[in-house]
Amino acid sequence: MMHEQQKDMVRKMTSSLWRVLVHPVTFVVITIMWCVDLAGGSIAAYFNDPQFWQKMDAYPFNLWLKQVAPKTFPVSLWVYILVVLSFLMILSLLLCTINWFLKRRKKLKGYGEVLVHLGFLLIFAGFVAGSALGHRSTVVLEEGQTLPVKGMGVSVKLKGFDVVLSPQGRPLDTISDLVVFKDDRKVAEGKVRTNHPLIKGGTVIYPPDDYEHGVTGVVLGTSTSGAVTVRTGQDAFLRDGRALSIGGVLQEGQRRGKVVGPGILLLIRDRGGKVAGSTYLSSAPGMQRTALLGGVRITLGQLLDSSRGVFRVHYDPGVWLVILGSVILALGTVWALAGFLGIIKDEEKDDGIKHAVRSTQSKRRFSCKRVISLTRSSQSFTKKKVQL
Amino acid sequence: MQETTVILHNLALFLYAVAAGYSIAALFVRRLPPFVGRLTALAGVVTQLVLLVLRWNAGSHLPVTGLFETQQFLALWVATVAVYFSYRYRADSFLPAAMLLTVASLLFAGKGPMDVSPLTPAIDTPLFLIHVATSFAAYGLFGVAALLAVYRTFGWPGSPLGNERRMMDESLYIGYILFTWAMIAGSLWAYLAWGSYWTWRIKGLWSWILWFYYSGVLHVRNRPQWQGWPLNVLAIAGFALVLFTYLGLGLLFTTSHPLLPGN
Repeated sequence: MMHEQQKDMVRKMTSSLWRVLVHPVTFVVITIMWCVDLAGGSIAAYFNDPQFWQKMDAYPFNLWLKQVAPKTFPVSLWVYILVVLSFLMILSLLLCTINWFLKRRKKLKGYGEVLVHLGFLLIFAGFVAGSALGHRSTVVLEEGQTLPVKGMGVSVKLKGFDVVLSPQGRPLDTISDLVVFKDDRKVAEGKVRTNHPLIKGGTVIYPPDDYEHGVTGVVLGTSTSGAVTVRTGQDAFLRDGRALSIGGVLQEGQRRGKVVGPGILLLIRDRGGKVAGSTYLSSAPGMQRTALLGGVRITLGQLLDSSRGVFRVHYDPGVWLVILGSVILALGTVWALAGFLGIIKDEEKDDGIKHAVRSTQSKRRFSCKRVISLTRSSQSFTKKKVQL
Repeated sequence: MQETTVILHNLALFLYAVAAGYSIAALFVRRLPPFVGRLTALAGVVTQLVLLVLRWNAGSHLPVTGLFETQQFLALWVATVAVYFSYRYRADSFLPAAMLLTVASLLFAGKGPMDVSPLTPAIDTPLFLIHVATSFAAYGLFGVAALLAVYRTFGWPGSPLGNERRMMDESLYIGYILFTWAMIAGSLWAYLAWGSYWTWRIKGLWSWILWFYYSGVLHVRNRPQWQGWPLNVLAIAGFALVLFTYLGLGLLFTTSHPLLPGN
């Protein structure tokens, strides 16, 4: 008898706990905590370090959490709390979905919402997989060069590179012709530009964030030092100790004022590094190729072209789970919307609002009845008193 | 195109202002027929639709880039929903508030450049256009839900309709679904353009806060305990969150998100 009572108590407790765990309000409470933590944390992190987000985006989340977050503790405390709340939220969602299948599996209505839940669970699973096993790297490639990407197990070749210019000559976009090799075997090939990365499985190569293209140097003939090669960012020294440097470049088709590219703005600096004179030399028809600069006759020999880009390579093994989850989630919303619009058309159907309003009204009716009965009893009591 | 834009923008603004004024007057003067307010608002919607089609044709893309176009789109949604409610639920007393929100949105739109500019490579993708269009449609519906909540809180002017709870539910539910699509399109676009569907940027994070907030609202909206003032507070607070995510972040933080005013 005692044993039976204990069993019954355990059953009741388990049932109550299950009801709490699968209750939508449990999910809502965790969600509110998640929102408050993220909102407060995001603002605090920004005001502590405006570059916080860029630094965080540079790593897969798991790596950031292990290596960077401990160094910024306690500023990063909110991220740890966010992780815990995220897992709690997912657990609540998972149990809620399981409960739905246990209780309402025969009803078509509500499948939309369940698909939304399932889609979100898949997205989260993909995010966890991508954070734990993902990798991010960069590779600096010159045109024609093939280099391995650190930690990715693949090599990338930059076959061709071009810059898309606006009608005014402003660079708009880049087009990189890339080939991906794995164990010396070509596994992917394609042209990469903004919004069109090269995707092979979970590995994605993005267009370069930073690049050099076109004229990057020049070979000059000088009256005092013979042939001199000058490159952007690198001074070339004359025999008397003065230096030549490139102050600016106009690529082919570019124009500034009266000068037309391709050409360079050449600077001459004295021994103290101070600019002593400048001239523009261009190979475009009608533009000057020879100039006298600081007493040195300089002739444009050859413009040196090259293309070089810094390419981002990301590996995210969870991304296909995320895409699948997104598709299921989107389908779920379409299903749910269809159901919802059906409810709108059918006014007599017993929907959520009517149920909610009716429940509230029944509660009110109950309170009203109580008030009336109490009033009546008090009236009869008064009458009795008066009679007395 | 700029001249046509200015004319149609000002015409729509005028029509909505007249609709707002008339419907406010109709609340106090019983003999004023409500359909005049509805028709004036409808004329404003048609004017905005004409402007949308013309700009779409001129730019060869859905005009939802920049401050002017996004605010126009927001105003169009609010006005369309208000007109729909006034016909379907006879909610003419809701028109003044909706029209005032529309006028405010159009006045704000006027602060942005009105020329039709070509898409830069970063935003030249259908995903961006879907993302912005659904975002602002959702913002509009969340705004309508908040206005309905204000009405419910301070009492519905004119005759009680009993449909305001249903209108609020439609605004919240459809707004949430549109916002979900915006999040999916935005994440996919971010993956293709920047390397990750999830970025730790302030705009993205606050958009997720918004999405989870309305997820919570949807979970409790039909629970008996949340009827009445709690749901009204949720709807109003939600729109405050929308305004902060859209305007507040742009003012307080430096962000590269192209949707925020100033970027």
